[in-house]
Amino acid sequence: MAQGTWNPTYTSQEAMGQAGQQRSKQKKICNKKTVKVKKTGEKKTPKLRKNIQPGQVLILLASKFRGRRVVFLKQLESGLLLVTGPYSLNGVPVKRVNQRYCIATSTKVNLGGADFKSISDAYFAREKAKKGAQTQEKFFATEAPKKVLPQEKKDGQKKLDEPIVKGLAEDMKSYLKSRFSLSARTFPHEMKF
Amino acid sequence: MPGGHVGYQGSSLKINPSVRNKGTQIAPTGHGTDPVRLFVKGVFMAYKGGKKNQVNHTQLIKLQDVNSKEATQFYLGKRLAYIYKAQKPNKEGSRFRVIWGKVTRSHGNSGVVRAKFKKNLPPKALGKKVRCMLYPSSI
Repeated sequence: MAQGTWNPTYTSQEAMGQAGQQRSKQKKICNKKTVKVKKTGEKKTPKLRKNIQPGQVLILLASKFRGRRVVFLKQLESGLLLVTGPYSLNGVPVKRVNQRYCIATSTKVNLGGADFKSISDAYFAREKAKKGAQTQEKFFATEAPKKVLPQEKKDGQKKLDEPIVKGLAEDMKSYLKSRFSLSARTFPHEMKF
Repeated sequence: MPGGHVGYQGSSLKINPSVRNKGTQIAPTGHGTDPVRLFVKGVFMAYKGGKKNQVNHTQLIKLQDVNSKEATQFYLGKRLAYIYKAQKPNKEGSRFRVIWGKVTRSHGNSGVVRAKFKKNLPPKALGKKVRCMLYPSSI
């Protein structure tokens, strides 16, 4: 402790102490005033995993078609993956799948110029029920109208699958027909897909 | 939750635990209806705790053949399902109920894993099977 006199003439550094020095270092001196504009409704398409390429064979992990091996077509705007069985091989139609619910295998299939540009998220939108027809009959109707896939979608499916199936070798066809399953001695953390 | 249907798919099994969807699922074109297992079997070993304390909100799960800390890396974040039977069927007619959870971190050096479930697992589940699904997948 210094003897005696209280010296009021500190240097500015001494005066502010260490914390103060930190603060002054971090102070931003800039002329621009950047105003952050929140872009509402602008969603980024989630990243596609590196190992997923068009034509890749994916294994579906959940849903009705779990275990099925399907062909990846493209990533949709919503981030979901557009995928097809092909339908004639394993019964999986053109479908949207979340990346997190499939395993990408190292097997790739030649898409053969299949045309799926027209399919987007809107293709999968639910049909909006007509409003206002809340008559008594409808209210008490016991049978809900059956949801049948329109013929044009069925045809579209066939058209889409044709070039893909044509380009498949026999063993690839049976590979896509088969289902993935874990068995007694197989453990996913040791498996290479 | 998208991963809702918890079950062996395939009509050859007598009991088909279907939790969110209707009963036996038969593939539309009848392709391959053998049972398919897409989960790793695990056992609910214990609640987290030491000699005197028990922490009920964290469960310790032993996954089959996962025997080291490195091996557990694959399973982090994966969904877990504890499935049990109840008397009354639900809307879809299933008597099976699930408590969902996820693998949070590894526990120790020998492959045991810590988990947290939506609702804490009941003590009657100790020693019972738990299913570790393969999603959310990062491979």
